[in-house]
Amino acid sequence: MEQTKELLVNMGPQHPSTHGVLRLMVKLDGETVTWCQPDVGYLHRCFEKLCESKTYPQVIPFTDRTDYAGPILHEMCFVEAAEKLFGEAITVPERAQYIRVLLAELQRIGSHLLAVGSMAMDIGAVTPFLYSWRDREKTYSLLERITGTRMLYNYFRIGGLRNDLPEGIIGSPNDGEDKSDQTFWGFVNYFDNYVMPQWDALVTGNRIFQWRTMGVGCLKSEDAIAYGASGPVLRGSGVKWDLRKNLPNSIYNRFEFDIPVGKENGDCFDRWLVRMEEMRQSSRIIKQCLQWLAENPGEVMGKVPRILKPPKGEVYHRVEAARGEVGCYLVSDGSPNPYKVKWRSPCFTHLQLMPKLCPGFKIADVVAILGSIDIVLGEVDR
Amino acid sequence: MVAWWNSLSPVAQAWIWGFGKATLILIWGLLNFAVAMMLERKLSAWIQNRVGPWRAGLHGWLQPIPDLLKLFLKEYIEPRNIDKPLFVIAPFIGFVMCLLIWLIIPIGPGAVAMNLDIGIIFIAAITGYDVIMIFMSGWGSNNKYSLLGAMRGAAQMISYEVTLVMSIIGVVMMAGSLRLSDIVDAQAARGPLGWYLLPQIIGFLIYLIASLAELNRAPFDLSEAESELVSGYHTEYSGFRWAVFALTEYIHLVGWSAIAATLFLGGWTGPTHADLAALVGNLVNGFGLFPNGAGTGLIDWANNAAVNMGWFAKWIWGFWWFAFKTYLFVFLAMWIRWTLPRVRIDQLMDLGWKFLLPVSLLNIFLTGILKFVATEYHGVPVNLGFTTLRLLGWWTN
Amino acid sequence: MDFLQERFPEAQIGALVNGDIEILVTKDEYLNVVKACLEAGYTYCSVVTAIDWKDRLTLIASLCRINPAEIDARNIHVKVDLPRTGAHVPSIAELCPGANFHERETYDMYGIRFDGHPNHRRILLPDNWQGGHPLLKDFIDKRPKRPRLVRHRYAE
Repeated sequence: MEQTKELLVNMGPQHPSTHGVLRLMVKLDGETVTWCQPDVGYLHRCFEKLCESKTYPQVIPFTDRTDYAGPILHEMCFVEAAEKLFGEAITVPERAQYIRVLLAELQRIGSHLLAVGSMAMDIGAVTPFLYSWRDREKTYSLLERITGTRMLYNYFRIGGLRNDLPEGIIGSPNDGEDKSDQTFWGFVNYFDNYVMPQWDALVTGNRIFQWRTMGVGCLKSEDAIAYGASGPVLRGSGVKWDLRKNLPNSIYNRFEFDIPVGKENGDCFDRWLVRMEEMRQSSRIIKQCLQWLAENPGEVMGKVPRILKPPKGEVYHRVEAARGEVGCYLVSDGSPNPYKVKWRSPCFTHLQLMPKLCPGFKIADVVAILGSIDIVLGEVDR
Repeated sequence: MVAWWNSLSPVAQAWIWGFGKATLILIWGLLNFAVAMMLERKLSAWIQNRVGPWRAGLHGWLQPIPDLLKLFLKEYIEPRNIDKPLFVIAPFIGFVMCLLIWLIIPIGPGAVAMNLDIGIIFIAAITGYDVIMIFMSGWGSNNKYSLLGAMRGAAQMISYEVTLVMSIIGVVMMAGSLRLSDIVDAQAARGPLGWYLLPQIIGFLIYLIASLAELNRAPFDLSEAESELVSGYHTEYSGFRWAVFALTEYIHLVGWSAIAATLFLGGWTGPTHADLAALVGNLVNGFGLFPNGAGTGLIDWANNAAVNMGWFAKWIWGFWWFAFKTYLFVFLAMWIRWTLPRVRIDQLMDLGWKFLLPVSLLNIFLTGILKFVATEYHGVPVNLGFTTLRLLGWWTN
Repeated sequence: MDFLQERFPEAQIGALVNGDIEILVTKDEYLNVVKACLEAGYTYCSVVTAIDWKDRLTLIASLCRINPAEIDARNIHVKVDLPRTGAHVPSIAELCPGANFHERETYDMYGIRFDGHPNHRRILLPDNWQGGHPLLKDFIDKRPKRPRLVRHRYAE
């Protein structure tokens, strides 16, 4: 007797488009997905256990390696959590705060470029992926001048920063494309005037891209909140929640920027547009930082004791990272080592959405949905 | 030499000449493969802001040589439980078929390997075998991804074959013959700018889209969608067998581009040195406004050259224009591949059956009406091209 | 805050360093407290984790209220003290789907069982891993030592 069975396909840990070692088990009925379950843990590197045997400054390089696409934001989370534990004992100088925000927003642009480039590549347009690397290279050059490394920085310190910005990195507001990898103003002008219009014309306005992403992976706003979504995924579903405005850390309340939101039943295209617009807003914040920094020299490291021993206490500090809300639950028992570091990663929480969003769509859409949720396995598995 | 040839029986001559033509086609196919592959890599690199192969020699243009050497020497990895006959034979079916396409394409005046009178329908029949190739390789690989890719590929190619043939029918109606050399001659007879590009603009655009779908190239490369199915129907092939798949794809690409050049752009026809001289002469003469010695002399020389042009000169010009137009389409196909994302299978089927097929039938209908009007009322000059464009404009207003 | 004090007067309510509210409840009251928070609008589960004090475990579930108009949002951390071995609490994954993976991770790392969880398996470590629960303070790494390649041999 003839029977049709569902096909269990393993989009396995080695796969050209799962953004890392993620295993997605998918049951297919023809081309339609009926069940989808992610399996994580292939990149688990015992981050939380490691932190318990390190001192506070030694934990900072490890936090970089959670989200290797936008590491500064994760450093910011840990460093600010530790500073909260110290309370009044440590004050971070204002110039250090501005530089932190500057680098954080630069990393947000870089991380979003990677996210949109990978999503475009998964959908089939290979060229935008290379364009995003072209522009990420420019952010790497800038960061290399400031921090010394291109990718995993270890630059923030509890109480400030490792070093001040080098001479001439800010540049002047008329810098053009030729200076886009040497000065911040050059990069920002190049980004606003060349890169964003190119992305709009090449991908966002492309009919085929819109066919592939509109109506795919629709997420209602109540579901988004219930599933713990944050960042562009939450905002793509119409909820105007951004930790930079609703729970400002550092000095984000001094900046003027908008929060883009999608429509109520957000689909992949909404999340794409939210990311695109967020990049523009980050560029706006960077310009405001640059104006302040050019006029206000100063110290970048506060007075901190030689061996950092925060007083006993617990803190749960949340920061708006590129992919969502990253949280650090830091427990201190007065010793130089953290007693517990729990890293709440946005991508880990977003993977819970896959079993909800994928069924009913085609297998080609699974890749689009995964791209729009934008996971980085370092963060998921820690 | 000639005496020896004349001493052979006609049967022997046919056999030897046939082998010769087949070898020439094989060499031509391989050469085109090398050029097209390098063009693809260098063009994609240029679009993507990088340099592509650089070190192999002459800034990377000799890369096919080490590539093919490597592929010859690679081990054949065969998964367990494959369907051995299907797995092994599949690539070669496609390879043979893509070379067969070149049998009927004219590359110069009177230069066509086999002037079949079923012409273009022969090609339509050949493409049917490519579906078999995809399906055999996908099924024989014993791999879910390959099977998915193969089923998608088979569905896609079958759908777009119909549209492809329909889009060509308009050209056949205008030329009155299925033979490709007759189609080229008909375009030449319409004079300069007499190519079927303008009158059959609808057919041309549909042909472009449908041929990209037949070739399994982006934006229609779902059967080998790299980010979803690893490599689709040729995931499990390694070494020389995979090389045969690549050969098939690129030779098909050049083949279909050659057909596009023949049907819509006039094949090997094009201005020769005589025409160029006549043009310059006319310019100097001011197109008859102020005739002078130099201009008239040039025009006379040009007319003389046109009449007395040797067979070889005509051949070279014909071949050059043919290659130029073919590679124009190859360039266009590659440009499209590296710019556009991929469509999904259900969107692809919708596009093919619900949009392109009706429009191609409309094209046939329109061509028929206009041809009828043009032949019946020959007092009234009806230019198919401009009428089509005007109608299009009226319809899309 | 106030609603918690009204409904659960025996629970200890405190504050974390950054102003978040923490409420320490018993295991039996845990589900009711979480339900009360969900009803009050705190439907966003930020994290579910545990702390291993050497004599007991403390399960923490952080809930947040997503209200776009609210600046300076504070979480509610619901804490339950549990014994170090054999601990089990009711799962909130059905009520608040965002806690699903976090509860699996807490099980994986600390050994706390969540009754009623739809997919109660280890998440970061392999399903059949026998080594125990790593984030406990008395965890001993029993994996066999792999030989390390020594590039330079110093004079012994």
